[in-house]
Amino acid sequence: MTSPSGAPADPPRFRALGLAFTVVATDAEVREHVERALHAFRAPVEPARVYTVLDRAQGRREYELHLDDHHLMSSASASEVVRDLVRSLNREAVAATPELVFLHASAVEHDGAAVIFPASMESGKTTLAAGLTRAGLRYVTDELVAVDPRSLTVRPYPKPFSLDPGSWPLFAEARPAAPDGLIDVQWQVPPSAFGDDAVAPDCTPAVIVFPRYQPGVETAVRAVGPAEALMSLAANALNLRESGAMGAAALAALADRCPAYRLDVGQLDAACRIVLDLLGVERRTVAAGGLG
Amino acid sequence: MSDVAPSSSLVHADLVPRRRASVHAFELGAESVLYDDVSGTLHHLNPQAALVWRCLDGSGPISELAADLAEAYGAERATVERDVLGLVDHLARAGALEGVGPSPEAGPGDEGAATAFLHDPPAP
Repeated sequence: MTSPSGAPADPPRFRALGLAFTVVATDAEVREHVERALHAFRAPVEPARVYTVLDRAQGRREYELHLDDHHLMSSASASEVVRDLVRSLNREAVAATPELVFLHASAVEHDGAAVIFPASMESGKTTLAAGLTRAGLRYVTDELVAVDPRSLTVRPYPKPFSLDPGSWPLFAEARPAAPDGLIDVQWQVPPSAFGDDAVAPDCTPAVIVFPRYQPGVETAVRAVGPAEALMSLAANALNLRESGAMGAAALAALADRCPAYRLDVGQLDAACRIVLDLLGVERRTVAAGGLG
Repeated sequence: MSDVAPSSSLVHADLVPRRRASVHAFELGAESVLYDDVSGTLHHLNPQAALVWRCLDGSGPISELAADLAEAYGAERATVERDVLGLVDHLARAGALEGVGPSPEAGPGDEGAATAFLHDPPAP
């Protein structure tokens, strides 16, 4: 796709695991919002892929999102376009990094030890990771845990926290500084919103917690055995078939080495305290409130 | 010929079951999880099922295996054989065994999906 008018000559460059990309946006507010959201991915790389966001002002009724020459979506909502850009990034990062095993999970880190939260959508894993990052742990990801099957280390994928409206009251201080039209569907919160040193380095899985958000329940945790943990890890693996026996062996090793738990989450603060205890981390202030 | 009725048309007491080479067993505590490299499916075995799985090396028929387990556990042979037949039937239907049941390529379940079955153990 040729560079559209209104776009800067030298757009920012990013690397998300094996994906080197840039984002070209014709609208200055969209551009600034996306650059802030993806700041943790900034890297001096030669981009292999180009995302383009075309604004509505140039004879179009809707924003358009393109990846290279492919039209991904159109919407009158800039917030929806940014949300879908981030979702596309998730897919493309997995595809561009086939040597890693991916879990649909969030994760945070402390002193090189990671706690992983594998779970399906709407389980509260983003809110939990955000709460723990605010509590002083470092952010690994809220969506894709990337495991090197040889070393069993986790490679950070520090995409912006994608916070849905139900979680906004819990993190009012992290509201992105952007026009309402860019954040009225979903907030894309950069990890730097919770501190200058909020992004984790490569780390070693230490604890596995399978969260399940259940409004109104008492927050509670229970241990699960390694075989059950492996089955649940596999259920949340995104590329196990492609990873083959090596990927399965990596997940089995994680299940064997890491204590695993199921966490019924009713209140964010209580859930954060439990996770901090599991990691042996001294508690810091955790904002009270339920998970949205 | 065993006097115990087969649990299905797929398996019978004279069958000599053998683990499929594409199926990897991960032993986690007393339990095991099987991963089929071809179909991408997983199967969760309780301790008793994991023990039987380790014995499915193609060296003897189910009736013989059941007799050995019954003797080792001091259990009634017919009960043990019924349980082993049930487990082998599940494994065969999951495509985990050579020469019986569907091939892994045409195996049950969604690609990459994790499926679980837990079996009643042979009576100890």
